[in-house]
Amino acid sequence: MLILQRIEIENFVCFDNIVVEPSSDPERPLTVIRAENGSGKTTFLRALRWGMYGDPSLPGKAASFPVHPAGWRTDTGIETGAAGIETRVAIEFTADGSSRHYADSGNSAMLYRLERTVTTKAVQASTEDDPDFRRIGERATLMFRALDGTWSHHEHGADAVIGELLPWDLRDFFVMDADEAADFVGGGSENKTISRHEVQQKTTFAISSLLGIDVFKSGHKRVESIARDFSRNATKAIGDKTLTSLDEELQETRTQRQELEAKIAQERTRQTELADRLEEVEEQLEASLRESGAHDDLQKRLSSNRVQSEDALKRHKDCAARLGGALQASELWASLAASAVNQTYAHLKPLYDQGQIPASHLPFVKGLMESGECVCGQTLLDDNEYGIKVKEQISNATDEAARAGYLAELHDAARSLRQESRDSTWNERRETDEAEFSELELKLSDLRTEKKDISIKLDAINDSNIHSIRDEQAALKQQYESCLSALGRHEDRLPDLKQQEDSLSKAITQRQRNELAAADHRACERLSRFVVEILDRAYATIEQQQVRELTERMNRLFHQMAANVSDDDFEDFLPNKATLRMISQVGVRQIEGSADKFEIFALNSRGRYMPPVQINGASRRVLALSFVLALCIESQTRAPLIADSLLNFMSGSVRRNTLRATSEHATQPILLLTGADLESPTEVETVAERAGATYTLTGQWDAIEAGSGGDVVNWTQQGQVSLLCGCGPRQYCRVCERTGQADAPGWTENPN
Amino acid sequence: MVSNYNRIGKEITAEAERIGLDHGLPPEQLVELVMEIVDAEDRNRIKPFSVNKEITNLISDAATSLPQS
Repeated sequence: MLILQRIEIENFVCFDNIVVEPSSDPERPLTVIRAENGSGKTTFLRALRWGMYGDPSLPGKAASFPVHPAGWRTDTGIETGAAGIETRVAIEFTADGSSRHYADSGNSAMLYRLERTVTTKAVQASTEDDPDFRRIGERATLMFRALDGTWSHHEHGADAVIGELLPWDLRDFFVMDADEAADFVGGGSENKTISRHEVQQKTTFAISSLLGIDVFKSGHKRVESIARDFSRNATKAIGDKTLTSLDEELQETRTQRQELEAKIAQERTRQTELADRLEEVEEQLEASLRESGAHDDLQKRLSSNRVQSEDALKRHKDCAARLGGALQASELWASLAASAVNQTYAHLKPLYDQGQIPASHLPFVKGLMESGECVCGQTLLDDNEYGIKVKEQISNATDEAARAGYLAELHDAARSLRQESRDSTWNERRETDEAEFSELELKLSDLRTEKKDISIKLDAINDSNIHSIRDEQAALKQQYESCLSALGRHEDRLPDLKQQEDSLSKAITQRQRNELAAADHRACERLSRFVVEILDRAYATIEQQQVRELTERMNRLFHQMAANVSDDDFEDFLPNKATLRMISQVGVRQIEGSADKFEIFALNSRGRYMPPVQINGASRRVLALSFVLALCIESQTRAPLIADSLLNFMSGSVRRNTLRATSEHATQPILLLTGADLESPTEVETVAERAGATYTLTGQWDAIEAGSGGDVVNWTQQGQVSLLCGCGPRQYCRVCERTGQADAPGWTENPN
Repeated sequence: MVSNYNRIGKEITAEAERIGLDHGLPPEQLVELVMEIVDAEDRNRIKPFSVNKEITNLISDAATSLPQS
């Protein structure tokens, strides 16, 4: 998928300006960059990563990590605010687009050029720990060369394309140093610890990513969710009612509407008939009433009679009350005693008039007696004769005087009663009332008679056919009202039925459309389920079978590197002959309890699991490399494998085998090696056989004569820089670090 | 970055042929659909986009062109 063609590094830490063109020859894919410690191997790796991923790829706190030449500021005396220095890394590569297509799509390789630049400016550091520089204007451009040879900007931009071709999370996989390679196995180192979880994460990500397992998983989950959406949409489109029930409901509504319309027509006819008939009856009634004569007059007379009767009755009642009241008055008693009083008075009046009553002479005599002298002059004493006689007379006359007094009182009473009787108007009033009473009695009788006459006349009129006409009229009116009411109800209901019918028709149309839509959704759901099944089964095969194949391939590669066991000899190989600390089998396994996670494992000769800390650094490196190579082969990943110090601390045979296996199985191995890694003739032979390009990074710049050039590939007049000479793996020249080893066995001078 | 497309294609083809045979569907179209879905997922993983919509459309389009058994 991605093959590096050219790497240009300018003003990056110790590199002034170097150009490396890795081998892209499939027959000789190996590129060896020989460099001793401190000559720039790690810096080369960092420059490459920075070129691809920018600042996030730098170690530690990226902004504080300098990418500009180490002596740039002090050597040149650049002060704060002065113009900055531009760092540039350009990477040219070809990509065949295989990641976007399957089964040999045949896309031709295209040349890309990724160029990342940044300007470093000097600033005043606020503290000793702060950097005295600041990077500005970092930008990455990606160009591609069209078939006609012209260069154009890539539409998706640098980060997107690099992210696809060499994802950030896989940077340690393709561009690794020795420690990072061992991180795939775990165990850490003296300077670095890494948790088992982190190791599993790295391994799992590499496997899932390159084998496409994570794509299967996310695709499976997504299509399942989409299938559920289709199912929901289908259910939603169909709704609760079936088309048949809607049809039935429509037919029923339609029938109801037609029946109602018929009823309305019927009621309207009936209404017309009733109106006509009512009109006829009213005309009949009018005619009959006219014929019966003074019906109205009779009614008026009857009404007047009623008023008069009420008035007469009221007066009659008042009169009767007055007459009744008179019977209880004292006057009545006086009237009734008048004759007796008159008679008594007539008897007593002469006596009174004569002075016989009361007996007035007795008090006179008594007075004379008291005075003691009679009118005749006679002395009247109690003891004289005259006096005694008078006293006898007085005594005899006392009872008579009392009777006379009584009669006098009776006379006075009779006279008073007689006078009172003579003064009373009772009789007059009574007579008046009696007369009025009699008159009212007569009037009431007349009124009763008149009423009876009128009623008889009215009855005579009601008894005629008017009554029946009126009954008919009333019945007709009732029927008419009932008809109108029914008509109103029917007419009120009709629009509802029509609306219901329309709604149902629309619902049926919509339903028919929905059923079509639902059928589409169901078809999509069904297809989605097939896709899920295909993904599910293919995923299972990839996850289990291909991971098993990966394990097998990894085991073979490990043994090829560790014990020089070729594929042909592998079947006959006895595990207990393993040379690397008793490791008899390696591979990748799913983590128990977490099936979607993987880890690299190693078993000892007894078939027991070996924890990473029990595996030495060289073995872990070989183990990690066998994993990387096996995974690239299994996934058919065509990408560079850039490794720094991979062969460090390996024994001679392991180093040779590792170098050979890497050069044979990696698509584009770019190995940064030390001279010690290339000690034996076998290694030199391997490099000579497999390397399409070799370079030497040297720190021996002070050996260069200015302007000499010679075999220096990229020469610079700057001081502290690394150089790149054209020496082969067992060559030396006067500028490379091996210049002092001219007498070493097996080394020859580079004639250039 | 899925580079395992050959193997993925091989396994998907095998399963699509089986499904197609069982349900009367053309395996080629099934393979094409599933591989396009895998590709969309891969692209979405690298640079997220409205992948749900794209996959839904892919399935809808395929469903209209596939025979209904």
